Amino acid sequence: MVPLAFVLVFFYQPLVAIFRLAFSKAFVQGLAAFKLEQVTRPLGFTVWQALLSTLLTLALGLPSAYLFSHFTFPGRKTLRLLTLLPFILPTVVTAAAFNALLGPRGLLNLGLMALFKLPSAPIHLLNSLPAILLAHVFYNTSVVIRVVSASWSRLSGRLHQAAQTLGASPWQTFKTVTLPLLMPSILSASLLVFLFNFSSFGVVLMLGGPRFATLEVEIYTQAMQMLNLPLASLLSLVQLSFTLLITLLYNRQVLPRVGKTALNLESTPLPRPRKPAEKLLAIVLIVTLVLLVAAPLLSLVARSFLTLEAARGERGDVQTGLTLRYYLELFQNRTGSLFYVPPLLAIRNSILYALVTVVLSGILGLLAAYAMQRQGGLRRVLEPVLMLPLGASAVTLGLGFLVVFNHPPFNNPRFPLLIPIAHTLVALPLVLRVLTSALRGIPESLRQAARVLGAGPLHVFWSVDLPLLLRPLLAGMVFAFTVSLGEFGASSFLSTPEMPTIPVAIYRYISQPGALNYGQALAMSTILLLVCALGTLVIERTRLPGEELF
Amino acid sequence: MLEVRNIHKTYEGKPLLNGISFTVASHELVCLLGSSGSGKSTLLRIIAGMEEPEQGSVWWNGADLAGVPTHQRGFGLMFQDYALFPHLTVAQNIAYGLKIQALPPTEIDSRVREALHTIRMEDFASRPVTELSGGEQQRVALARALAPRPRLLMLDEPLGALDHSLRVRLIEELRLLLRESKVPVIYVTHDREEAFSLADRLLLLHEGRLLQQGSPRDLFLRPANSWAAEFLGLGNRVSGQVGPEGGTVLTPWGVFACEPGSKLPGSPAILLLRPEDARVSAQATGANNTITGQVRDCVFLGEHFRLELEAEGLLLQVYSQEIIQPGSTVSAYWPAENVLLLSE
Repeated sequence: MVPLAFVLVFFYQPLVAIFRLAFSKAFVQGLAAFKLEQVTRPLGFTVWQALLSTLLTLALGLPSAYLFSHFTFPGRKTLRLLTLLPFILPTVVTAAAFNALLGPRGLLNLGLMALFKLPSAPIHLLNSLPAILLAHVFYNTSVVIRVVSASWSRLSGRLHQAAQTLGASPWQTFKTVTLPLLMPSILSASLLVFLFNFSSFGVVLMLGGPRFATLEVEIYTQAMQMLNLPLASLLSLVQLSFTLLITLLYNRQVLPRVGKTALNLESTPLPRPRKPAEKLLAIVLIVTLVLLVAAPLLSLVARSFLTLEAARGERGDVQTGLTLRYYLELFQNRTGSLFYVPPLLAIRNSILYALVTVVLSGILGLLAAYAMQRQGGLRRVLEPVLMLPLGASAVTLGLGFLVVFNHPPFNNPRFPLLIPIAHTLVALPLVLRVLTSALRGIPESLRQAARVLGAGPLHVFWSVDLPLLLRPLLAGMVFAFTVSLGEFGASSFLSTPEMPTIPVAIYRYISQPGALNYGQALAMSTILLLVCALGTLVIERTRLPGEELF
Repeated sequence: MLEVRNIHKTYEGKPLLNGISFTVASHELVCLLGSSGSGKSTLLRIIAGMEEPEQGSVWWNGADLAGVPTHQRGFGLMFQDYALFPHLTVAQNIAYGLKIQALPPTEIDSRVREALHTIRMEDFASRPVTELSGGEQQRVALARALAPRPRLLMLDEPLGALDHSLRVRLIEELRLLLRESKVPVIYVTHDREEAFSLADRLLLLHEGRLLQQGSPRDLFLRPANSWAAEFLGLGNRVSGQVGPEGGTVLTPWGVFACEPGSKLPGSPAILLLRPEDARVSAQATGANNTITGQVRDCVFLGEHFRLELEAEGLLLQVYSQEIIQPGSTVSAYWPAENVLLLSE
């Protein structure tokens, strides 16, 4: 009941408020109050870029899934881990990383300028569609690799042998056996990737520049800059109904079919690539993946230690050198400036929020997982109600909170709970998914065995459930921690100038001029990157064999 | 000791257990035998207190156990899938029940070592249970169930998941272990070989009722009815009619003399003709107690040959000392004292 109440108050109440806001204006002034174009233009672009991104992601992800499920090669585990990292990386860090690689002050441009003695940056990738697409591919390739390679490696080799003894050529085997069996997981990965791309906010805001606006960015612009809350609400509704549709499709149609393919019972060790074609494929894919993931992240780290004291006006003649200044600067207190964001405060806030989020989503996740375990009416209500926020975007959430909780005690800047509550709503569906699948994996006979051996109900929970749930719970909590640390969409609505979080601070630094601001943004992003890398490691280590996050 | 009184339970609207009553005395090994889906496991769970009967009660030493929760009944149960705690080692699994009894650590230590010695797995103490083979898991599950010295031990198809040759070996081990433990045991199985080699007393469960109970020998010699004879795999069943004078049965394949039963002349009857009692000869005779037919198949079983005999729509199995070519005609004769008249 507690999780239900929590979600009702903090998710559905803001949702209803958005509804009211959007329709109140429509009723008073008629639909003419909104120009149709104001909705269709961002919607069109959102769908367009999401489709493109998804296709590109599949183009890289599917061959990589083949590589991971069929071959072993040196560094396979590391590469797998490396591709997981982007998935939990905050959008601001991603944006900062691509900025550090491709931006006018990025490594690539600096390198080219130094090499060819160019007067100005030759690559203008930033603020363009390719930058957005690249970042989305960076983000989501791991989803395709994980989901598809999991079921691809479960496909029994015997099925192929059977098809071939029945006279099927390799191509026919692929068409009639492999593809149909893989289809559910490919579809599942595609929908998931599409959903993520559809509700992309930070990446588009920071890499797309003013010319490109997805629904999410448009909601933010309308609400925070144009102060047009009704239009923002309407856009939120459009956004919400689309994501809802995709989520429902995913949960009802696609997810139940995944994993029901013929299982590979014999676990033979994977071979190394042998044929020239296989070797070529492996090398091309490995290089591409490493470049895609490592290049932006490494340039982020490198760039955060690099000074660039270009004397103004003397273009091309830059003094470079190594420095710790950006990091040290994080600890300096320069309260004089109007735009000054105290970095230490942001770090402190973010950590506090993240801890609250971990506790909240841990407790609520456990309670809800147990409630959903039970048969009957409550479960039928609980499951869709709790899983729905997965489809709602963080920006919509932020907007809803802004609309509803605009009275005391919530609107007090010192009221510290609103942001972690929003973060909990963002993290809860995935925490819940991990916990419910773990809980379902505990056979009832274990609890019965404990009871027969004399354990009371509490002792059964303590000695059987809890130890078995510990690893998934830990994974879920680490996940919630990184989500909270990196969450940008809702925080950008809810954080006040005096109480920033790390991503909000990074966004502010990076959108202000000056080498120091830029450097500080990169330094903070690097710290966040480090935390997320650690988180990835923990999640991967606590993962039970054969279990996936999605 | 244990007394089960008139247990009723329905499953999805259909009666599953329909008035089950029996007792288990101390030191007794009772086998509950029935086909899968006959409600055997449900009965065990009711005794263990994990399910409530819709009617009836479970008594221990004259006290009704209704309202006593599972963990206070002091009964051991070994699960079909063993239900070993995957997060604990072999020794920790065995110690689980002892720790709940809050025994002193030294006592727990020595009891665990004793249990490991009994199942001959001393070297496995600190192994994770997930690395054990099926047979090893089975032994650890048994040790875990026995370690807290339960007042009653229940085993739910404990050999069900194992392959045949391992089963045969483990039945012998189980026999000795259970005898040594001196705990009253209820052993649930659908396998008559297991039941016959383990049980002091057999309870045959069919259609929600106890069809028959007795020693393995009783059931073997006098199965309660046609279904029991078939389920226990006792031999050929041939249907006919009780003849005008007592002690004969008329069948389409000839007249059979048998021990006189209480059945009225003219009423339908089923005869049990065991393959091992048949006397096979190459001459086709028209004598009483004889079925003549064609040999369809002849399989060497070691001690004898098994013949598949076909006689006018009837398929029979009989054992023969000699090899007989398929296609030849033989007759099989059963002496009257070996022909059993079964009830429906």
